[in-house]
Formats: sequence, C-alpha cells, structure tokens
Amino acid sequence: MNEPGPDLQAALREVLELNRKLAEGLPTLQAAGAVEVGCSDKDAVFRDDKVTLYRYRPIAPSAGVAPLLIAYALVNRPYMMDLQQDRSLIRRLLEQGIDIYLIDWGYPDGADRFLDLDDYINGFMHRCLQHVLDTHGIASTHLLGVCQGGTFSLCYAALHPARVRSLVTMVTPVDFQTPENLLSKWARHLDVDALVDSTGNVPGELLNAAFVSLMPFRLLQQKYVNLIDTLQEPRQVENFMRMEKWIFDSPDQAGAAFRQFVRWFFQENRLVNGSVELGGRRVDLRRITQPVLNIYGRHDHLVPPSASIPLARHVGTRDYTALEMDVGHIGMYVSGKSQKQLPEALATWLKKRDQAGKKRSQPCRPESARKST
Amino acid sequence: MTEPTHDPADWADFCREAQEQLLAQWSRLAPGAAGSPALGLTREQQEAAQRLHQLQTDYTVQQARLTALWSQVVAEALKDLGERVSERLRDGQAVAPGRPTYDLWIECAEEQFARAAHSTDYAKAQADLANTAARLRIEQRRAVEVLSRQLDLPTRAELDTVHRRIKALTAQLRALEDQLPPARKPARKAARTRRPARP
Repeated sequence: MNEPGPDLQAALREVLELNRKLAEGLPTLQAAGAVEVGCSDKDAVFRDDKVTLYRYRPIAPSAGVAPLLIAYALVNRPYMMDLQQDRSLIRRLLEQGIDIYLIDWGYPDGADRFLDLDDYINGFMHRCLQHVLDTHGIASTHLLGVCQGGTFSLCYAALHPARVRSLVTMVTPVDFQTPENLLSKWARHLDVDALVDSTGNVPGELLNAAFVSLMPFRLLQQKYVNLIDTLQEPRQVENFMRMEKWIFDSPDQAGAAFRQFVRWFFQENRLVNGSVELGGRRVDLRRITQPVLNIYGRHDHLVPPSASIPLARHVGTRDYTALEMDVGHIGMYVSGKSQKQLPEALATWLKKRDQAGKKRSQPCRPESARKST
Repeated sequence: MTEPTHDPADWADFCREAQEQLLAQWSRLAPGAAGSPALGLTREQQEAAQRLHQLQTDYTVQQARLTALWSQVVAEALKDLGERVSERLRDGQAVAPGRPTYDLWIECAEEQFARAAHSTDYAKAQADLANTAARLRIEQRRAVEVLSRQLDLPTRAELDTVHRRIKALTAQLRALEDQLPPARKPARKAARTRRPARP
C-alpha cells in the first residue's frame, strides 16, 4: 500500500486531534450542563398576570437619577441583560448607581393567545411603568427598550410622552423594510393569519428555527465545531452553555400580538408610516420630544443598522443621540467592548438628561399629600 | 437528465433539472386527484378530504422547490470553494487541509446562502412552504374537531370562545377597577422572589 501524501497525513492527524479534544472535553461539557443565568439580586415588586416587574438591588451609591425601566423583547428572555457577573449590562449600570427595573413578560400559554399589542403596550407596560412612578412619587422616568422592546417603547413614549423622561432604544428596528433586513424580506411573504390560526400561540421553537436559518452554516455547524477547541476550558464552556440556553429558551408568542407585529411592522412598515394604532390612538413618533439615545450594532444581522438609524428622522425630539457600537446583536449585551463602553456612556447620558427632565415634568406627589394641600 | 461529473458546476445544472422534472410530475398528478366535484350525503366530508389531499400535494411540491434551491446553494458554494482553493494553489499559497479548509467552506456556503436568501425567489419559496404547512395544520385540526364534536369532546374553537370571553371580561373588570379610588384598588404587589418561575 502506498504511503498517504503529506496533505492526507495532516488531515488525518487533525481528525485524530479533534477526536482527542472531544473525548477529553466531554466531562467538562457534562459538568457545564446545568448553568445558572441571571447574576444580580432582584426583587419581584409587581405582578400582572404572567408579567413580573423586577427591581434590582443596588450595589453602589445612588446616582440620584430617576429609575431606568428596561423593556425587553417578547422573544427570548431578559436575563441576557444580566447573564453572568462579567457579562451583564445591568450589573455595570448598577455599578454606576442607576436604579433599575425590568419587565419580564413571562411565558405565555394557550390561554394568552388573544393578548394583542395594545394589551402589552397600553396594558402590561403601562401598569409596570405606573408602578415605578407611584413607588418613587415621580411623574416620569427613563425607559430603555431592547430590540422588539425598543419598538414597544417607541410606541409607548409616543402615546404617553409625559411619563417618559428620556428614551433609550437598543438594537431596535424602526424602519422594517430596509434592503439588509433578511428577516423582514422573509416575513413579507408570510401568511401570518394562517400561521397564527394554525398554532394559536407561535411556538418559540419556530422562531428559533427562523433565527438560526439566517446564517445556517455558522449557527448550526461551525459554532459547534469551534466549541470542541474550547472544551479544555471549563469557563469558556460554561459561557457557551449560558449563551446556548438563552438562545433556545424562547417563550411562545401570544398569537394576536405576533399577528399584529408581523403584519403592522414587518409587512406594512407602519411605525415609519405613522399608521400604527393602539387602543384607538395613532402612534405618532413626532410626539417623542424627550431626549432619545439610539444604540445599534454595526454588525447586527438581526436588526441591521439601516433599520435603526432612520429613527432620527421620525422622532420629534431636538435632543437625539445615535451611538454605534462595533458589535453584533448579541455582542451588544455580552461582548467585552460593550461591557466596557456602553454602561458608562449610557449612565452619563442619563444623568445629564435627568436634570433637564426634572425641570420639564412636574413632580407627582402621593395622593394623600395632594389632598392635604 | 445529464449525469453530473466531478465538476461542482455540473451539480447546479443537475439539481435544477431534477427539480424541474419533479415539479412537472407533481403538477400533472395533483389536479386529477383533487378536482372531482363532491356529491351526496357526505359531500362536505369529501370536500374536506380533497382539501387535505390538495394541501398535502402542494406541501410536497413546495418542499421539493425549497430543497432544490438549497441544493443550488450547496452546489454554488462547492464551486466557489473549488475556485478559491485553485486560486490559492495558483498563487503558490499552501492550502491546509482540515479546519482551515472547513472554515473556508463555511465562508463560501454562507456567502452563497446570503445571496440566495435575499432573493424574492427564496423568500417566496420558503414562505409558500410555511403557509401551506399552516393551512394543512388548520385543515387537519378541522377534521379532528368534527370528530371531537361527534364525541362531545371540547374543541379548540370552543376553547377560543371561552378565552375571548375571559379577555373581554378582564378588560371590563380593569376598566371598573380604574374608576376606583387608589385606596380601594386591588394590590398587585408581588411576593419577593429572585427568579421567575418557568412552566
């Protein structure tokens, strides 16, 4: 038998090496199976059906600004904002002395299939924000919307401008029909009525399949091949597993809300056309006159920059700041770059706007105090 | 149909031809099976069965259409990989086997996939398949509901009515609560917990 050529020998050696790494790394992988997510202490301060409002416990002296309410997307879980000690935007903001509240939308089940966007935005979100205002005796507070939660926050701020002292949107789609937006191109041909009528709630697994199929070779193959290289490092494996848990821990989407979101935003691009209507009122982004900070990722493949940048043209504020980060969609929450730059920039921005906001909005005294004067 | 050689470029043509033939065969078969008019006492059931059959046929055709597009992506990616490797060899660069070549393959595959995925053809083929799958499910559930009603078992439609009523009642209750003075409003304060419960 002929000796194999040098290329084949090298290839065989690599296969053997890969096998060795896999065999030696399996115990690390098994040990990392049940990872913990969410690292900062928080208290559930308000519940509304399956929605929970959390308040994070302070870990630094207060910065003396009104609380920041975070509204995350309905897809995926909000613990991505507080994944682990060294990958937590929330923790970094707590270190800056910001008082943080977070809306956890929960896991809708079959009985929630008729919840629509009005229920989420004018209902749950409104009541959570009202709880924050009542607790602190203030008339307005800062709102941070993430991804789809950013779209919700834009709608909310346009409908209830007096309650929002400043608005921060993070990786938020505004113009849903830009050429780079692959998800939107796919969604435009979807018969969303048939989909929702056939599933009731839209399964999280279905959305996961759609998200990974945006880059199927990298996300279904290469990522796991690369994992083999890190199997010797328990910390890296744990990080990988946490991320894996977050990616696939996807709540089902309440059918009615999903139907409206796909049709109104992806298919009809109503947010920039000014034709979203919630609770009988039109969402007019020009009513957003409070300070706006729009943060987006240069390499975001889910919400491309071209989907976020147009916000500047549509809001009515004169105090608009765009912050482009050199990260992708997920990197925005967990990358080293983001952890280093974003929280400080955000906290500094909030502190400046808080003073201006205080002057604009009248303090809201508790009911008893108002009666006694 | 032309047999492909080892040249990856031939595979793209081969897949296209196979796809066209398959679609032609299915479209010849489908109308005959589902096109006859339904008659008599069980005409409604016949129509339901025909709709099911038509949707199953459509589903198979659309699945083949998407599979063909995928085969084309893979064939184009292989061709691209071959060209890039040849180019490197021509330039006298070493082409390491194993991981570097695998990574190059992924790069080629993603680039070709992105090109296809952004096209209207792909978006439509994918959506058509998803839409037909959804309609098929609706039709299947309709068949199950007929059986459930005959056995006096609860159906999805019945539950939906109940859920709609509960939602409307909840909204009315909230509107009434909003009219109450703050002191009389029901408290929604949560018990202190650290993490949300998962179902």
